[in-house]
Amino acid sequence: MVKKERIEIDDRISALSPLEERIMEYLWNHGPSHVSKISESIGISISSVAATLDRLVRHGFVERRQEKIDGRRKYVYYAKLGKTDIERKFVEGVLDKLMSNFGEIVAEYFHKRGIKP
Amino acid sequence: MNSIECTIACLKSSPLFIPTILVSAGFFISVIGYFATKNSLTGLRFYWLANVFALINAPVVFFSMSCDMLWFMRVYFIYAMTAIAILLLAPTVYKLYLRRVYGYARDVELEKLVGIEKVFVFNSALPKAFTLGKEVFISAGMLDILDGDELKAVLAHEKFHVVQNATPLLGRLKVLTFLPISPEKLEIMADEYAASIVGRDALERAKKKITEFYTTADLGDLDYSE
Repeated sequence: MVKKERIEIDDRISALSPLEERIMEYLWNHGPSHVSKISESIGISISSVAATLDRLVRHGFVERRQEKIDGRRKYVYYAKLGKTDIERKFVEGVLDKLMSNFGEIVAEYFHKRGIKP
Repeated sequence: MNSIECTIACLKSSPLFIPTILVSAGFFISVIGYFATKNSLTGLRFYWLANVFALINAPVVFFSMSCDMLWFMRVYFIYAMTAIAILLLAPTVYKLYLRRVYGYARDVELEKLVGIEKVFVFNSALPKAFTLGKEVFISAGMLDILDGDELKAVLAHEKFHVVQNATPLLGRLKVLTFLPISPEKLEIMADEYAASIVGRDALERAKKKITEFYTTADLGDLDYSE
């Protein structure tokens, strides 16, 4: 099913999985691109790239655009959100969750650090 | 008298004895036709006919069993009702799931390609194509990797499934009659049909592309965190 929020807290807290990050990096640096092009450039199999792109599209990080070349359809993927947007979304999601579950403690923590939530 | 002897005696004394014999004969002729024909569409029709006879046979036997209602007939009817209910619901439920997770849009251009009533393109980069009832679903990823006649081959393959599903109750009858037709056999028949429309070459090229897509492995880099 679709995850509403992307909150996975493990050893490496990050907004994106390693492969998601490589794909996003590629799209940010090289602009809109085709699945096979992304797969070739980052050296990951096309099926893994396609499955990951599906996930990125579902989360609204990437968008798919249809192009027609000689009546043949091609799909181009482009980054919909920048790196900062994705990180902000992720951090806000984590903090919202923490606030709703441990509001008092979080407020106290920010107070101690001299930051107003 | 054991239950088999009883069943035979029961059938013989029943006014439905002749109908039972006729329906059974029809069933056997259809099965023979199914194995004898080489044309996949004709084969499908024979298979369907066999199913119809087998299904008619069930109530005929059921009502001729007035003297000894075999317990398995009761079980069968409960099974039949449950199976029909589930099978009627399944495509609708799956369509809802598709809409939620991927989203899809109708595509008139693809419908015209091999003459399918409804074709939907759904949002996935993975090449997939399947038929729900009379509606064909094909993924963006599939359109992405296939050339003109290869795409036509895939659609023709799915059209066979549409015909299979459009033949009244065929897909559903399968579970009611326990006739030995495997999904693999249906896939082969669908391929034969596609090959007869666009040629074996285009079909094989399409199949090769799809297989290659899923088999190019990258060791240690797989990323399926969801």
